[in-house]
Amino acid sequence: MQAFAAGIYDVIVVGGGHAGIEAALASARLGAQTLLLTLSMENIGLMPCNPSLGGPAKGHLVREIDALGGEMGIAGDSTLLQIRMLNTAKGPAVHALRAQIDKASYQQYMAWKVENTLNLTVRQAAVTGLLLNSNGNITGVNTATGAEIKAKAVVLTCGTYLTSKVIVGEYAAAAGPNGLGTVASLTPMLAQLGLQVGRFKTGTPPRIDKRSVNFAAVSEQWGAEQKYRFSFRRPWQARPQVPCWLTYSTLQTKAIIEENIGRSPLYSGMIAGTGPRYCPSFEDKIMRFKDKDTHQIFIEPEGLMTNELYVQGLSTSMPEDVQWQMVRSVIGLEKAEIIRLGYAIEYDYFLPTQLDARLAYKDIYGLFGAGQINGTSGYEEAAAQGLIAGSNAALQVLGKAPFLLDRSEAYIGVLIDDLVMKGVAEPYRMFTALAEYRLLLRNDNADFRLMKKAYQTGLLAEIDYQVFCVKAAKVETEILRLQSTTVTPNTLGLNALLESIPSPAITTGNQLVELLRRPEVKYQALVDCCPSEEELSWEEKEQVEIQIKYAGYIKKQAEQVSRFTKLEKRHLARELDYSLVHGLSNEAREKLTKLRPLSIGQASRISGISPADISVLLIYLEQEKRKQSVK
Amino acid sequence: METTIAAIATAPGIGGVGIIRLSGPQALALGKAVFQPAKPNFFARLQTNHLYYGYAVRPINRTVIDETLFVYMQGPRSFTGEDVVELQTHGGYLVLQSILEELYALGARPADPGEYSKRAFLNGRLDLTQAEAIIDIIEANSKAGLDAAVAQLQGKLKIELTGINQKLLRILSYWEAALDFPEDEITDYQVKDARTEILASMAQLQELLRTYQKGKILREGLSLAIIGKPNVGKSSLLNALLGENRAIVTSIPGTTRDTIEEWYNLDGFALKIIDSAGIHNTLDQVERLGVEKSLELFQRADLVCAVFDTSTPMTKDDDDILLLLTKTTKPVILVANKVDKTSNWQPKAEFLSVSAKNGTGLVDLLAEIKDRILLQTVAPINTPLLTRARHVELLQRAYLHLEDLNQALEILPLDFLTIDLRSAWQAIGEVTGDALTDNLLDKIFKEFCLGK
Repeated sequence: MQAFAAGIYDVIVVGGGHAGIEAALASARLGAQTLLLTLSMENIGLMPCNPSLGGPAKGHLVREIDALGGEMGIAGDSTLLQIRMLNTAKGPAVHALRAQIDKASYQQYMAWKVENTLNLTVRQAAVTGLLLNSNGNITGVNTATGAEIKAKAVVLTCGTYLTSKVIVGEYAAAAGPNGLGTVASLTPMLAQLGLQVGRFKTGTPPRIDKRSVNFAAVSEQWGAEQKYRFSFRRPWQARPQVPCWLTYSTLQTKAIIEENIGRSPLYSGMIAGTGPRYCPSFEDKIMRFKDKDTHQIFIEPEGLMTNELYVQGLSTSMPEDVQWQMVRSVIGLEKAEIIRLGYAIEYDYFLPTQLDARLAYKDIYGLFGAGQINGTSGYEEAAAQGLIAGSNAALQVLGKAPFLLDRSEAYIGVLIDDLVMKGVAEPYRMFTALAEYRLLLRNDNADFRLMKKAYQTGLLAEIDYQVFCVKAAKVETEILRLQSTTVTPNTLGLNALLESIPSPAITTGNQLVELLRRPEVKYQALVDCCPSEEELSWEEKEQVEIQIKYAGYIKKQAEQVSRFTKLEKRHLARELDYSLVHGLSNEAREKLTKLRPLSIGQASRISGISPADISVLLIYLEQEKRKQSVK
Repeated sequence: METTIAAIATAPGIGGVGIIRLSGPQALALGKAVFQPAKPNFFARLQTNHLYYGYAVRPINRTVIDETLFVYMQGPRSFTGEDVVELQTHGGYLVLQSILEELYALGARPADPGEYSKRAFLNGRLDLTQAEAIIDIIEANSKAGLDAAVAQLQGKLKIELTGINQKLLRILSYWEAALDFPEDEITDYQVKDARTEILASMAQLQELLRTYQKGKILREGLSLAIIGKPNVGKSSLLNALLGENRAIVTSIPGTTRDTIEEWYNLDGFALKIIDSAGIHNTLDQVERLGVEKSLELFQRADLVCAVFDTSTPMTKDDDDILLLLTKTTKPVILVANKVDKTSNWQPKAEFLSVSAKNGTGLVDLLAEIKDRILLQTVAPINTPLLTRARHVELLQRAYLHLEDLNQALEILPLDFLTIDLRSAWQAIGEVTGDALTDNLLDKIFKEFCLGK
């Protein structure tokens, strides 16, 4: 095929999924001329699995992406069918937004967004190879149709499309998700460049026809009435509300699986890739938890303009006839019509330990990676990485300092540190339990944590930052008022209020802040009695309440962070020759050479690095420091 | 770690055996150079971890220094992870010192304080609890102390703590699952059950923390203060006690100019007797200084032996001392001395009657001291003992977190409960060496100064 020069860009993003979108938008926001290449314009922002966003840790990620100027939160708010706050009884650190999304609308929104962003160009093309110069640096990509496009940096966000295989029972086909194409040529090329390849598996449940469900037999679940929104940056918008439904599998479903387990590709050995333990197929649940007779099944709408319903909890790669039996054994689905079958998909990923904290490949200059090709799962995880990879690709091209987040700043920091330092043994999903400083990394304060830094880097627009500054000032003013206002037993209505809560009446002068620290006293009740000058929004009130009520615990964690930061600041030089450090175990030497951690803190989190190795490194740093001071 | 180090591995002055330890790549070569095997073919079929009988010799003319046993422990399966040679001699400072000088002349370097343990730790041969137990062994100057250190080394403490941590981890995993999977069917971990487990773990920690005092006694020996006003016969009592038993190990000047500390081996327990026998007061200050000194010694001791003179009437000073003793929880033995003399003494409490002069009652006194020691160090062999201040600090921290957790259980939301639970779990993990902080390392390396 005759090659032809098809343009020059600063950054090319390969793939239009959730990682690719945020990567391309972030790169363009920072001022880099950016090209987004996608296999299919119709599938930009496709949600091939759950039509939903958020949940614990994932909802936190969406908020962080939003605070960093990303689009996922706004797109979610603009296309949601219901939204809820999860874990409201379990404490502020784990409050998490989860929304059902109108799938088609979401794609349409995202396509419109990438088509209408300054510095960003979109094209439909299948990237089949990378262009490199004689130094081995990335200089662009080429496509299936012969286009050669030059760029100083390339971000790979290829999702599950690399050498992917879709499996339904005994049937297997080389294909991407949802009947889309697969790309076979990129993996061998990247492997030739030295990248180590792994293989993962994931799956999705069948979709059924809404008209075939007996809704009388299942229970409805509506979203919250509270005006919840993902995005800090756009006002709440009213959306049509659609319910989900909860039902259960039966003993019959269990029997069907047990009878047909020999035909499951998972158990017949047909699937070799490692699947996620936290998102097992239904057949796995039956086989692994044999004494559990019934399982929860959530039925979720896929959109306003479709009858397709997503059957959450019934992820499967059983043969088609078994899937029909399974679906129809679920309460309320006795006459259900399957529109799309569930399937398993195997795909290539690249070991994320080959990346640095910018999500740049350490050994291929100019190449970045984000999303499922880094061994993660989930739209939110992908988008978060895309934002970081796209930002750093642009910053590298523009000759600016990298944009990095650490474990004490954001879930994104935890996510990336885990990926590049620990690697993955199964598709990586974000959990709140992975964050050491969970109480600081809340869903409600992502703007407080990240907006200033994002604004200074150029990721967040001036107007969005100004809006945040107003909010921050209001919150601060109110906290000061509560700290400086003294109330007495004579304060009108106060003791009556306390009595009604009930909470002990006050007998002497008290600061409002002291009353708010009582677990049973809510901020709203208190300001009803002692109002502030300016009415606060519910989100501002929440902020005031959390910051005051949990000040003790928040302070404790902040102290832990300062200890953590100390180890993070003991820097290890990128070019440090670990073969010259005496006393390291061979395993440690090998891993440190390969992973090249940036600090003692990072090194200590690498598996196989023992405390002894860390003490050797500390001794080494100490020696070097002494040598320096002698000089 | 390219140098080979050599040092005396046994505590100064103790026991009938003196050991010199060599560690490093040249350990075997240097060891062979100063050893003459009894049978010439021993070295031809030298095996690791076998004892060989022979003589320590001067390399230059092969003259014998002492009868010696030779052990070679091949790295990495040795205590330091390097090649190690031990030369076991009959002890005696001069013998050991001569052998060491020969080794240093051949190129070995004197070991820094704690360097063996440090090498072992750095070579990954020891986890933290083990490394610290090694220091304990080096320091242990009594048999019971050695047993406790060995038990800890074998991981009794680790097993106990791992057991607690498994319980905590179980609760933690339930709670974390509930937080991260709110829409899944996670059976709620009953707060009631959690409370039971948490209280049980607290009790276990408290039990361990109580062993610290015992552990300290086993590690450092027990100190016995002989107090009393001047001229009641403290020094003659000390001399009588020491004279009864030839196991006096060493005599070193105390930390203060006016006291003397004597190590005494009482059936395997290291007993450090502190007395004010060295006080020579000017006459006009005698009374005041005597009481002050008694007070000071009293503060430092684990066990107190208060001596009174039955040949003279009790004075206000005696009364002051008795008053002081009634206010303490420390074990106290009251001794009525000089029963050989005629007495019109009216005892106000239960005294053990002795005569330092003719030996009356000394056997009873020793038996009483031993009983008191045993009371404080019950069953050292089969229970894990806390012997290090760092462990105590961490386990106390864990205990406090569990206490906070217990109080917060039905009041604060789940995510706050996990904070204290996790912190407790991590603190315990730090004792077993599963976690690491900068502070921890600072402390460890400070600790290494103690041993050799």
